[in-house]
Amino acid sequence: MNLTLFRSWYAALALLALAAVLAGSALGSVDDHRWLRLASGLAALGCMALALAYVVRKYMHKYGYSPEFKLRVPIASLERAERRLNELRGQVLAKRFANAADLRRAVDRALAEERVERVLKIDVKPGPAGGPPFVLELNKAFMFGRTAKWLHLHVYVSLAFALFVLQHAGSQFGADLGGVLIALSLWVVVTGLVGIALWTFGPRWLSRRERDLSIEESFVLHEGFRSKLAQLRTQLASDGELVTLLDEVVARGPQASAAALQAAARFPDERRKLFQDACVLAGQARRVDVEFRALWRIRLSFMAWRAAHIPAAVLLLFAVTAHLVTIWIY
Amino acid sequence: MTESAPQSLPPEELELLFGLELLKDLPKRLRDIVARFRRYTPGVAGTVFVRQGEYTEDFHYVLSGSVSAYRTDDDGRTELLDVLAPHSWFGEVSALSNQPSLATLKADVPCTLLTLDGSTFRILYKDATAAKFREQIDQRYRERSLSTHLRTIPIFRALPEAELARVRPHVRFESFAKGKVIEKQDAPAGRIYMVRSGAVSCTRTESGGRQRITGYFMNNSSFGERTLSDERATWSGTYTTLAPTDVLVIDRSAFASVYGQGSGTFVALQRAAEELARADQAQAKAVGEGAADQREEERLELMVRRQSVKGGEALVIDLERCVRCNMCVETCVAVHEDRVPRLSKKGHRISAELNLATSCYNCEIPECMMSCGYGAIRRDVEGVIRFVYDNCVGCASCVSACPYGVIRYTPPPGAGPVAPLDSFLDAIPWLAKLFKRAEPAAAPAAGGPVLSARGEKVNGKSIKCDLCAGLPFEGCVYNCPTTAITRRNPEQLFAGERAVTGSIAEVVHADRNPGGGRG
Repeated sequence: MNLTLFRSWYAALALLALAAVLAGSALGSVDDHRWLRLASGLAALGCMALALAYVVRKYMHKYGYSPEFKLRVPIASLERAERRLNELRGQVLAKRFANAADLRRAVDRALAEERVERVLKIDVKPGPAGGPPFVLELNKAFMFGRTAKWLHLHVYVSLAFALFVLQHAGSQFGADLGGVLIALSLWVVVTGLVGIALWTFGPRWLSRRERDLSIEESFVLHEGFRSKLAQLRTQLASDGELVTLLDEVVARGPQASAAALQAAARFPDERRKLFQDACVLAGQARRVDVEFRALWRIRLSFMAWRAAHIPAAVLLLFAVTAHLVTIWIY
Repeated sequence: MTESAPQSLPPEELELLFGLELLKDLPKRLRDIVARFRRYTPGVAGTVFVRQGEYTEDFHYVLSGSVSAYRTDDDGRTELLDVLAPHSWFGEVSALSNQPSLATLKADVPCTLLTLDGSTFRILYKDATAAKFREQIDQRYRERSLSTHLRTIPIFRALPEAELARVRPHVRFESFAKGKVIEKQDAPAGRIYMVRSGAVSCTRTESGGRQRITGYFMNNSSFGERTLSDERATWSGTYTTLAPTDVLVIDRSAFASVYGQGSGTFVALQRAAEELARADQAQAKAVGEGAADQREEERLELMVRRQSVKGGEALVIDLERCVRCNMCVETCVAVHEDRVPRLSKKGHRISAELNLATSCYNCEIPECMMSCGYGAIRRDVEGVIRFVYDNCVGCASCVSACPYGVIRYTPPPGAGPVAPLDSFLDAIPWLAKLFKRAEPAAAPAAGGPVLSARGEKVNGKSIKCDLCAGLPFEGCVYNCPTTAITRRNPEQLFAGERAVTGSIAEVVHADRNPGGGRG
């Protein structure tokens, strides 16, 4: 089970939002206090912007437009830095560093001089018993945070967004644009919660079902068998009866195979052999098809969720923009 | 350090090169290879050409000046091993073994080296028509480097230099093909082996017929020392080569004849061997305890066999977290200019929930690198296998050599279609500067073949995971929205199940501790 979404410090953001909404409600209604409506509206807007930041970051990275790609350093610089780190390791062995802070400074200087400090992160750690006093652990810098962290932010600020939207609406659920905004916001948040559930349980459903074939493998095999069967069907096309028998085998499975093979016995050897091959292939295709369909159903649930969540989120973005424009104008 | 590019050589340079004692008997075919791939490496006083412990595979011949070899021991003491005058050479051990350098080589005065990359050196060394070349290399190795090499075997560490020198003439060099059985379980053990290059596994068949890998030998590790303390010792398992392997062999009888049974040196060696045997017994006991969880051990053995631990960490996908969004592969496409993914999620399922992804393992014995005859695969100082795309001609020998199928062949570089966002960014230069994707490698000039940096016709190129070299992230790991794909080492991988197993970890990492486990 994927519980990573529930183990996040960003959950504190949602709790803070809840506390802020409760505190606001204790002070009065947004219908009475204009500043409270404004504050909750701005908070909702801020949360939405943060939630959107995840989407922007994810897709920019996915398609290679992220500014992080510009941080690339030449491999020669990296290797020079690695050599210098090795020199420092030698100095650690020779006990030339009295404390970790001195070593840290030397490491930082080496990375800065080779201009690789933005891509490498070096941890200075105490060495093992009987070994060197310190060890240098080399890692990637991961400077803008993993996508997973951004997803956590997306999930929890979206929950906070829902709370602020409800507070911001006050009693004006029935207003034209306001009603649309609230309905869309709630739809996006509810589908988001469904998404959390899917991301939590979906991997387990898939991995339990993927014992023999992964979803990608089953898809490739499924498509491969389909095209091979189509080829054999074309080769058998001159004998209409064989094509009909093959279609029956494909549709009904093993029950039809024995009778079909008997019926095909009167055809010339070459044609009969081709038909036998097609029947074997149909049997294999059927088995793969069962696997593929089961996996595909799970996959479809993810696709259906995306279809419900993403277009509504885009609509919400437009509706919020319209809302802001109308506020500005009126 | 600058290095000259290959070019057609002037007669005086040819005369200089092939007037060298080492190269003068090479046949024309091999001379052409040397002339094409030779480089000159200049250095000023203090220039470090090779640093102890770093991966290197270049062979260097001192043309002028002098170079000193130093070795620093585990206590931080540095010892001057040798001073290499003109017409000496170094780097042959690393070039053959693909193992980290045993010493630091530093210029004493301004000097010039003739440098051959590992693949060129191996072509010369292994060619049957260059017997004289090989003979000279082996002879010099025996005279100058063998002692240093032998000292990495624990029982020889405390032996005085004069005593070690006496056994040197009795050391034999032997080579084995991949999959060859060197010694059989329970056969009389009368030799000590040290692995110069390649790898050897020790597999023990237990009473129930179950086979277990009990040791893994490479990187100058040794086995068979027990024969010194116990004349009737037998091999504890079957020793099989996992790759083309070069070993040093010393017969027990050689020790007896050189030092004499009962002599002080022989007794000291016996004591050292007994100590090792005791350590081995303790380790074997610990491994036996570890075997309680047979499944876990099998997983570790699988990882050992696949050498997935050799690069340090394996790429593992936690299927209980993976939502199959394919973000890892798509990011891999995005970070590479040719838009071809290096990652394939297909791999080995090592448990119900963990999948060992097919990604470069940066093997300790890089068969791809050994098979490359164009200097297109090298190893950086940290042991990462890097492709030098400028040198790659697309011969695909590395694709066939890779035991794990992680190297893929792609057609020659050509301009891909322009993405809509790219064409939009073209219109706004300042925005493009910030966001525009890197351009794919340039298409070949119309009609003309693409040439490598060494001047060969390029038919395509080989690609593999490069750990997103130069970027501040490893794309697949960084962009997984559920942290399902991670780099892990075996200890961490199984640490959650129970406190592993110093014992098994030792077996897994036997190769990292020269002489760490013996037969």
